Amino acid sequence: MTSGGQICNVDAIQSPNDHRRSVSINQQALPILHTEAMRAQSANINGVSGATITSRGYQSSLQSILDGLG
Amino acid sequence: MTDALLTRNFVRTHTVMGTVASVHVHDVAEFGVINAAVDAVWTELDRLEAVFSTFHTTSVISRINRRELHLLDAGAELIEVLDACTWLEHVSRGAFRARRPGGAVIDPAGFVKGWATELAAKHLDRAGLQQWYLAVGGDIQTRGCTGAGEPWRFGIADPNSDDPRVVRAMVEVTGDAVATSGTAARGRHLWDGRDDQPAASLASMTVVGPHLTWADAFATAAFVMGTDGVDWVAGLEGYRALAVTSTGELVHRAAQWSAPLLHV
Repeated sequence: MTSGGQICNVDAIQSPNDHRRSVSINQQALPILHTEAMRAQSANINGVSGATITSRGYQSSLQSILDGLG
Repeated sequence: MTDALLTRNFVRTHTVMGTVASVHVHDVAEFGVINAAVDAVWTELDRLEAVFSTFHTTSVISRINRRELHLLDAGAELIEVLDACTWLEHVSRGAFRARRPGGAVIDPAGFVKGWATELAAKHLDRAGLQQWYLAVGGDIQTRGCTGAGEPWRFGIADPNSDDPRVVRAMVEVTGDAVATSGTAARGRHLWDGRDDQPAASLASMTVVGPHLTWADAFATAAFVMGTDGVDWVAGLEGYRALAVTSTGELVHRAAQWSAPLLHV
């Protein structure tokens, strides 16, 4: 059993092209982009996107810390 | 059902495809339900690696490349992948290619990881889970939002930094996929399909959109196009790109993103 979903707090504006899109995409806001470089901590991100790292490189990665393994 | 069986911050990792997969589930759900769904995700990723890996000599792809098996006898899944690769070669005007330089060896690796990850993630959907992300080697599919009701927030690794904790930007998504292609982590392994030269003008290319299959494939193709790739992705409805140049500049179309309302 699951919680049956939760309403997301999305403050961002909707896409101007929503009327042309499927329902599932319609419900999404535009993604938000933060353009500042920073030294990230687990408090301010959920995960990391980057070029594929090897399983060995993972051991010293920020993602491993966010996974609770670093 | 007792409270002791419920969980809301479930994380597991799994080594697969030469990298590490991570799943974070924020649904309030029974531990056993989530765990069984994640078992199915890992099993699916392992199975797809065994079919498509060019590193395993026993994979279906390797057998085709040794002429031990004909393409048309390889099964619907392989035809689906090669069909998608052919379409990508067409729409990217040759920047994406599923063959090694020279043309003899089939290598759909630029497509398979994102496709396999999105396919494996369907086991989380089937279990009724609605708030999660699945990442395989830096390519991410999300559903819904975090347990706090906020968008999922991901750092874009700084491809020009040796410090793995430095991020060059951050994106926030609710249900979208985030994929990044670049040369930083494993050397120059991407070729420009048009001239067989290693692609070098950008440090990384990130694509955000509904499906990881396409976000990953478009990132791979757009990366070799250089900064032109940002405009190319903008023409693919629902998808947007963020390039990081070798000097650390960001290239993107501002109209395709929301600006953060609050300072982090």
